[in-house]
Amino acid sequence: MTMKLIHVAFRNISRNRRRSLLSGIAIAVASMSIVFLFAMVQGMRDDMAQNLATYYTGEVRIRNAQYEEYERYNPIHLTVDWQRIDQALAKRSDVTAYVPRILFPSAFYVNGGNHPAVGIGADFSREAEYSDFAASIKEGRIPDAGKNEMLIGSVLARDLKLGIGDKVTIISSTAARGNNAMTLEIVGLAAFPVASLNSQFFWAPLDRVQHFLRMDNEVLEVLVMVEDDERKAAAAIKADLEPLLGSALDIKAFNDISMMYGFIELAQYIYYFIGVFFLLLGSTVIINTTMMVIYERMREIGTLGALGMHGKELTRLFFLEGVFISAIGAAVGVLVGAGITVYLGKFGLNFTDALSGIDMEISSVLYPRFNLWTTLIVYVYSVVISAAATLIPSRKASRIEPVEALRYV
Amino acid sequence: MIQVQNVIRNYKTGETVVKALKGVSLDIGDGEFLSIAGPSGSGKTTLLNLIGCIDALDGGEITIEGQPVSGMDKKAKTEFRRNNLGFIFQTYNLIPVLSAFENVSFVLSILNIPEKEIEERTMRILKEVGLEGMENRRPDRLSGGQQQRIAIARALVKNPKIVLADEPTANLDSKTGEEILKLMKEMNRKYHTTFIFSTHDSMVMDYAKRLVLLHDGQIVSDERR
Repeated sequence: MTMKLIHVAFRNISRNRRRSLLSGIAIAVASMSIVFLFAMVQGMRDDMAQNLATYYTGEVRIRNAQYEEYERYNPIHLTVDWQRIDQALAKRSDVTAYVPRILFPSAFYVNGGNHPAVGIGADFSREAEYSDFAASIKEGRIPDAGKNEMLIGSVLARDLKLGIGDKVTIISSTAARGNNAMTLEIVGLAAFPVASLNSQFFWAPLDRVQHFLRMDNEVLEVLVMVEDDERKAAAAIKADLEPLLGSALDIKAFNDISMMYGFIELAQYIYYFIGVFFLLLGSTVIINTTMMVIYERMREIGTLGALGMHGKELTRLFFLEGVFISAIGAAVGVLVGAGITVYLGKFGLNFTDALSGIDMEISSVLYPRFNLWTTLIVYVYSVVISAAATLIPSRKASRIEPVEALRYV
Repeated sequence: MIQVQNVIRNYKTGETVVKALKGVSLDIGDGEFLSIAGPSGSGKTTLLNLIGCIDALDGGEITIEGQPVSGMDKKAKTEFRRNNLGFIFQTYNLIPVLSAFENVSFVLSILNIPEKEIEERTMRILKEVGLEGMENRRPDRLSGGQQQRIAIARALVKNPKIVLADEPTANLDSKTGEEILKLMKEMNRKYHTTFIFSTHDSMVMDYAKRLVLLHDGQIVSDERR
């Protein structure tokens, strides 16, 4: 009997092709949007995690315990002992790479005026191990250690009309709370994926920045890449380093540092609910179709009832029709959504204009992340929700009295 | 076989109560070929629906094969129809997406009969009603007479005790209608199935072995031939 019902239900889809198509399209559009939406959010999350880890915080960041409290005052005297941290981290098997950094606010003295810029003192030989730093060089080269050279964001260079070979005097406060100035030659232009890195930042050799800021051999932070869970690694490193250095350290995983990343993580869960609403919205079309089908086939319902079909069998018949439309619609939607995701995952979506002037750790070009498992879940999710929605009008068929249905014109 | 005792059926149309059947009593035996005749609104279809367990009565009792069907709940009535009754409708009421074969075999699959037996019985009955070679055609590719033949095959394929036909020839021309009546009569003779059909066509009445005339919800004559 079930086989026969499946057979009839499947054939019934073709009775009004245009309407079945419309219902299927509604489910398909909803499923496609959800697949793309989830891939987009996942892509944003991965991109942000990548940017945070590479340029801003590492997977685990080590700072002086008091730094965060006084961060707004530029407390570059609140440093960490780079040499001892270096020795300790080198022994850890869960640490894959780490770099020392000094992040400092400064002003460029250019064309008779001061222009704000953020400097990063970096050990470029270590940066090469830490990330594919060289890939960000658009023109020129990476500055040499021990030389007054800088790498500058390409947008900042363009805005200040600077180029390779130009010399720029930078002004900043030192660790001794005095002011200092140093002239650096631009040897490279960088194009990072994050817009703000290109428009506000410049990079200089760590030793020159230490000298400039009067920091001896100290650094402001150490960014660490780890093998496993970042939070667990942060706790383990903290337990290891604090007794060794004899001072409190602020050691945190990147996902506990960036508020924006937390928002994106939260947004991902919110989008799961939005996905349900998308599908419920799409399901209203299939509910409407099923209701119309029931009214159109009233005499048929009466006939089947007279021939001895029970109410639950009639419900199953209309429900199966809905399931087929949902399954086909969701399959098409998920495939199209996956296709779009794979395509854009390769070529990216350019948000350069939209993100210009926004200080976020998200790349200007975003790549939706295709995930087979998520796509399969979306498919099952789409079929279950839209089929469940069909059940509501389908139950009506079981309550119709055959004698009334046979009288229906 | 069928005892209809003092059956009353009223319908409410707005504030008006229409008395469709006003205490009808009738005994129908095994293998009868009975026509319920009368003008429109006389209560023919209502009586057929009540015997067919698809309508509920307001008074009296109907017993089929010793079972008081009028007291059954919806599920029991459906089960009873499934096992004991066949229906033929004026507008054929075939499922348009199914072929002739599938329309007939569908009734047997409801009864959970093995596939092989379904195929044998369906092919046999289609041959008997003269549709051999047309089993794969859908209703829209068949004439009215051929569609009604499918409906007859569908009603008979499960070997019911009773077949109820509501104006089975009303949508057919007189020649085709006569062919359908001949077929029904032949099936009645061959399978000893009780046929009860409603009509207001005198040609159809002539074919009946027993003619019950209804007028304003009451039996005005009951003639055996």
